[in-house]
Amino acid sequence: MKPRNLILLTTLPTLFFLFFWLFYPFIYDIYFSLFYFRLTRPELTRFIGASNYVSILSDPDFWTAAGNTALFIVSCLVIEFFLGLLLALILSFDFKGIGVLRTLYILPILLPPISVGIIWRLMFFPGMSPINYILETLFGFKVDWMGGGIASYLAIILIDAWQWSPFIGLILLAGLLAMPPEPVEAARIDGADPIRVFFHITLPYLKPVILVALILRFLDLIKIFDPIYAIVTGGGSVMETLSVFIYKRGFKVLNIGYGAAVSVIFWIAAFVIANIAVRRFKEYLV
Amino acid sequence: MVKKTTILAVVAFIILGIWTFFPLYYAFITAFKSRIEITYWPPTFIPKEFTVHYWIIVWFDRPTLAYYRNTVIASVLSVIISLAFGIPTAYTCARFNFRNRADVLFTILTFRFLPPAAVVIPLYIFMREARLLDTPIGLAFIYGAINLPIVVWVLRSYIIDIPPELEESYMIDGYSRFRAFTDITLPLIKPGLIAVSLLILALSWGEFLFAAVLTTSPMGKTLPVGISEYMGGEWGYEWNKIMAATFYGILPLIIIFLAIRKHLARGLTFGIVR
Repeated sequence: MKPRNLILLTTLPTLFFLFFWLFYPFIYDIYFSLFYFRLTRPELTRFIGASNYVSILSDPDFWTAAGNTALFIVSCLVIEFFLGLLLALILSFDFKGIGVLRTLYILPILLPPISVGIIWRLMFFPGMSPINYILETLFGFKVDWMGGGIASYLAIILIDAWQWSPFIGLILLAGLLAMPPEPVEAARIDGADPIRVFFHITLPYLKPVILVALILRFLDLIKIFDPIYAIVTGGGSVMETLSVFIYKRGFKVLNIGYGAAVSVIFWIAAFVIANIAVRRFKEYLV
Repeated sequence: MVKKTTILAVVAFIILGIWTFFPLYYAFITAFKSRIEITYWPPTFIPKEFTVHYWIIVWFDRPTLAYYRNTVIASVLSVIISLAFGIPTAYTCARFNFRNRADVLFTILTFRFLPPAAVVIPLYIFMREARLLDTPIGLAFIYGAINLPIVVWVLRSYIIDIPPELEESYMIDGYSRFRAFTDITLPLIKPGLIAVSLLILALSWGEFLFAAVLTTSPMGKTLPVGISEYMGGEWGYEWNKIMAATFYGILPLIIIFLAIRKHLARGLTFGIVR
């Protein structure tokens, strides 16, 4: 077979499959977004032009959700980066049995995010929270983690950090272990203290790996849903992110047209951001 | 001096251990507490009465077996689908240097980062028309698509590591390119193939948003959706049941995790970090 045909035969089906499941729905989103359309009242369906978009852009809840999404992205990235770096440094110690510890400490990554959310919901649940018990015993105060407000915001970040700091840690650890030992040893022989060695040799060396970790984490955080769903289920609209907003407006209220219009905005934003971020990878590849 | 560092390291490992495992430990033992004990204040950190009663109740209270069946079908099928599309693409993108290769690869990767929430409404309508609502088959196609970018990128990185000369000399012996791939390259990338399959299996297993929207009947749900329902409603405070259900969903994943731990960094970074 000619290489040209082989390339077409192997890449086109994949692209077509992806477009069918993930791009074609976007076209449909655009279509639905122009209608008043409730699944429970199909007889009331009618074309309303850009009305859905107008009401979204003038809906303060939408802007709160967009703001919350940005807030969670930034807070989680900062905290997960520092915890991940700490984890990588600790796990880069070399002694007998470290392999087992390295494995154990990254376990949270592979657990379903919704299960992680439920487990932490127990940790924070009013009236039986073991975290509150520890806080009360040590410091004499309790926190209402699930009541909305700043404590819920912290709880959600904590959940996300628990699950995903090990992800950043795992990537940085791979970078640390691949680092040639000579520059560090040379600096140590010249009398540089460990902190200076870290900031002047280790950190610059890790830079590309850090960027990869942060970009991947950033792209995942755009769609953050599960920890919020687990913490605020039954609560009000506080701490809604864009994913939660679509889920509630589109499905709990069954207002398909409105939900579709939010989806269009969200899809375009996510696609543009992902495209820019993904192209940043170029310099790390062949 | 050496001793000080050792103590510091031990302390760091202990704190890290508590941070990682205390929530899992507490959740796990809660599943063995009695109905009265879960309401104790202060909460008990070791169950006073140890009972497996609620594990049994949970198993029979809901169609747990159906949840397992749906989850297994959806995730295994999604692995097959994404491998079927992904392996050929990974191969040509690793072996040929064609003009639009970078565009193809980056377009594929971009799709990985689309939020499920942004496409789930039309997919719901589509699945309803196609009569795939409430079926694991419908979910398998979607999971196959969202995990396809991982397959392409990760397997490509494994194939690049195999020198093309091996295939070329085999082809000089008169074998086709296809045979060269199946006889020479495929066995060599087997560890990567197994790891990426299990990674996708785990990701599909735990997916929540698509499953929550696209399955609505009691018999059609997957484990994550079935479990999440224990949270509200009539079971709102029965944490022993909720945790038993949660661990029914998690335990198989821990086995998968132990099998692929060494490939995890590479798999989750699309082969960029080796």
